[in-house]
Amino acid sequence: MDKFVINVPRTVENDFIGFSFLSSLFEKTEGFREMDIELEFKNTRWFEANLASTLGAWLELKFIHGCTIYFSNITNSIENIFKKNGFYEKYQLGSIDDFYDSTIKFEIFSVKQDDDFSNYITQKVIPKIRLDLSNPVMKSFKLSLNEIFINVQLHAKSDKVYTCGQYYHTHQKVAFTITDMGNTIGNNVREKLSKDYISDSTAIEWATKYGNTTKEHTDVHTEAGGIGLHIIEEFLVENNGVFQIISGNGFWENNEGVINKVNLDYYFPGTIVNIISKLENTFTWENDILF
Amino acid sequence: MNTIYVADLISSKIAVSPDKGEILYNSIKNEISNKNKVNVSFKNIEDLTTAFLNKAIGNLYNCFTSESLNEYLSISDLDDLDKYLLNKVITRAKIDIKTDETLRKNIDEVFDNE
Repeated sequence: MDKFVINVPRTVENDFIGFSFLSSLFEKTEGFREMDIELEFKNTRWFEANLASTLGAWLELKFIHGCTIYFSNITNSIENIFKKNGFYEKYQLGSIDDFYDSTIKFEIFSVKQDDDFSNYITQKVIPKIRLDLSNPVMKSFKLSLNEIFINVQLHAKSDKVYTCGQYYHTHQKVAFTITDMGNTIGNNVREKLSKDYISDSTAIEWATKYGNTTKEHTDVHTEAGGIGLHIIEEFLVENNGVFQIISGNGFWENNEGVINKVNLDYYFPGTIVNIISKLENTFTWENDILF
Repeated sequence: MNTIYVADLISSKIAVSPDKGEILYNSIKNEISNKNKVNVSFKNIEDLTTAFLNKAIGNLYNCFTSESLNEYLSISDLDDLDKYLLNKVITRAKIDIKTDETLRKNIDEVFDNE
């Protein structure tokens, strides 16, 4: 049987084009069962290590559907990244030592493993960040990742969470990606607000605003929420970072304080949260707590 | 005054999930309902999220007024970052989404261009 071939672009980066390609992987192979699929890397010169998170989510979905995946003509440099960050190791394709110690391990968590995820951040993510981090900044970064994980648990109701990261020594920045295959933000927001016309990218923007939540509200009980994504955005703005959310057809980012909101040509059947940032600043509250 | 040590109550230094937050919520609610003054200590807690605090503290506003909470509840052993989070949670919990103009403005701004 012929393989279904998908050409990987020249570069797959942390930007709209990179996420469009990753979304296209899902849409172009939707419904495939027991198919041979070839990812052709012959033109590809760069693949961001942290985006192994989303590539891994796609692989797992295809494996569940009995597909066989082939990586063709992948360059040594990209293959080495995948061997260093544990992505290849997950599929028994080999591993090599990370001499520069800059990769952050690819992992797959059950959505119920919140403690394990928190320990992974402490033990396998933070030590890779070769910066003189103050305790509050380190805590803020851990908080951001924990909030994203819990958001998947609460709202996406996905079974699995796929994570991967990269530390860039030259730019002194960390990139971290969390992918899930659960309910999209757009579907949750449209259902909550009973507004069918809201686009996926607008729904993402709504979800990042302070106080907005798709949690339950009744006349007698208001479920507190609507802070997690807002706090992450605040933290990243403090650090001139990039905060990207891809869900359904929506692409939304706060890129060093500038909001970009567009719709993707391809549908991503879940949510990708991506952060890229220096880690220098955080926020504090020195007053007493008043209820 | 009774003291609830969160790390002991949830048997963990990691206070990130709403499920664990609910354990704390029930303990606090029980104390205040019985008119007991209670201190909640976050000593030894290493990781905290707004998801945990929303469930544990934010939801108390469904049962008690600010006045009651100020009278019966106190918090200790939070660093400045965690105090910032808790303050965000409290501020949000006190907002009535139907009447708060800032929140309504936020929502309207997002949908203006749809």
